[in-house]
Amino acid sequence: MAWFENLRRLNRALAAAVRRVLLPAFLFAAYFIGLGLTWLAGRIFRPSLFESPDLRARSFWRDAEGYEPDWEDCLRQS
Amino acid sequence: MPANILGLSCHYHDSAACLMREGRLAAAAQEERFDRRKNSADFPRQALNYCLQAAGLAVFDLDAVVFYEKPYLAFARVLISHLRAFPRSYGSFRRTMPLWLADRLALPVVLQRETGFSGKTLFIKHHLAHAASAFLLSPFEEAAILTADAVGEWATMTRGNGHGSAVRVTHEIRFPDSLGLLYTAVTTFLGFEAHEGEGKVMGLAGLGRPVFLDKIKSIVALRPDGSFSMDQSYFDFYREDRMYSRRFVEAFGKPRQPGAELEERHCDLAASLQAFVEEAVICAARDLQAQTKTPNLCLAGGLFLNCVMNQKILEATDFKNLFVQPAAGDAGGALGACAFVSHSLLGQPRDGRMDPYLGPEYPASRSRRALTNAGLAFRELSDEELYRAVAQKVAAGQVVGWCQGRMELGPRALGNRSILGDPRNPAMKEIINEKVKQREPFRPYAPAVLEENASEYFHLTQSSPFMLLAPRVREEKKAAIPAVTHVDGTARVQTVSRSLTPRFWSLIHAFADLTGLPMVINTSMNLRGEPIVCSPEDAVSTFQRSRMDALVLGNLVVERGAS
Repeated sequence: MAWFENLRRLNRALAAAVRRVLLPAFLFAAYFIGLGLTWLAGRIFRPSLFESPDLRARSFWRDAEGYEPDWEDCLRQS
Repeated sequence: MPANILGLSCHYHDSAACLMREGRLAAAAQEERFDRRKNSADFPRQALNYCLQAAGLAVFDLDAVVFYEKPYLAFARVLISHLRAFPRSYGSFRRTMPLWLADRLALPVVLQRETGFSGKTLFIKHHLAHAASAFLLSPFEEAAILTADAVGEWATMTRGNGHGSAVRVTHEIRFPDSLGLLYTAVTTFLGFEAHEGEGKVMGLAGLGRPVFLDKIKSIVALRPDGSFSMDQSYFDFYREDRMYSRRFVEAFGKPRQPGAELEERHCDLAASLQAFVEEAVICAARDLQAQTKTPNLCLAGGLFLNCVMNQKILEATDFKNLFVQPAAGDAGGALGACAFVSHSLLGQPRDGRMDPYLGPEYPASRSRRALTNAGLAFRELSDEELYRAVAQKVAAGQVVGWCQGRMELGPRALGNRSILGDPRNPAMKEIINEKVKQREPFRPYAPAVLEENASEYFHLTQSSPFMLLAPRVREEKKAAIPAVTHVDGTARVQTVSRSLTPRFWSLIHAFADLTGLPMVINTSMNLRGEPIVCSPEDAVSTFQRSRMDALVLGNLVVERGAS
């Protein structure tokens, strides 16, 4: 079964090489194209997303939401 | 009605698992103690297996597994934060996305892969887990609750209240405004490691003066109700190597390189940071007290491992009773998640008793084997002989490793995985540092004192069983316990009660019979950069790689030089 082991080893090496190349390429594209276009759209259509908080506010506490979950809420990951 | 609930926290730091049966804590442990990597963030497979084993359960007996975070919400925050910081967040994006895609967004799949569990997986918000751990494990029937850490999903600090089995979070401060991240940013600026060096900064603060306080206040807008907003141009939370920006360096000078000599301005910056964070949290606590009118306060989140701050909260507010559970950081999130489901959702009664000794315990046969395999000669003593013999060694200036019973949960050794020394000896800090701990010289060691004698030595108004308060040492007692009195006149006290820790209590009692002093130095049993020991093999290895004078495993005593 040495040939099978060699095949598995080769397979693993190929998979690792593909991961090494594909993953960074995917992340690069996802960031600069995906996030980049979203950033551009956000700047144009929703500039409030990028604004700093109003430092003149009397308090920075915000009302908390989603902290009284029931069993069904807890089943969700969001 | 489900009765066996497993809580998990993992993926960032301090992974842990916790098991509750019928609403009672049966077992809990951090993964680092098993995989021997400090602050391990891995899926806590060994801690989980230990919890099941300790309770005599199989994974199929679990009614639900509950995770201490809502992963999709956390992921949304990560994406939006990277979007806001585009394009300088690329490095952070490239580093973190594979982690999210591999494990963090697929916890039920990971759980099934690792354990075979295919039942119900629940998720609760990070700060709700903290709040639940703070209140539901406390002895209080009602209390105000304050949580603060680096960041959960969006929240970095919350306030609310608890009554009976109900936990209510009413307000939150959101990322990127975060006292936890501020503390970590300054920690990295001072040349210490993030998530590891914060305690060192707290110790360093005692040596400095808060001369930068006004400068910090010009960067972080603080309101009388304790809420705050940070000028983000001073910070950079997307850098791998540091968390502060060039503007921060312009304001506070050159950052300290790791291992470089500590200057006065470093101590002053640490003191200023500590003073600012104390002021913010005290303001928040006062405002909360005014709203809730309760004398009880429960705290959780990594920020409240800061015992100096906890003490100030107790002294500067109208709260009379403070509860901080021993694993107040992320490891405690597993406890909180479990407690919330057990008590708040399923209505199982709370027992109001927090026992921190929830980790593994090993039989004497295992200790004997570990010692024999290591070629170490040992003596087996009766309980009374043991207390007397160890007390004599400590009184003679020896450094003694002391391992007993179940391992503690949380970052402090509380008398079951400890190194002991004599607090009367002014050189003891240097001796322990030289023989075992290799700590920075400015960091103090903590006293473990009999609960009934604590107020004779410290300005302490309540017990401190988990070493999370740092009261002032009484003026007339400072000379008697120089090894545990920090330069600012405080000490990080553990009060030892007979009911919670009978063997440690008996040992200190024996030391008091011998010397008249009802306390010993108690520091965690580990070498620099390693987690606290768990098994007898870990303890033996630590003993062999250090210059500790003696090691005690249960009733077995090993002395250096005997073989």
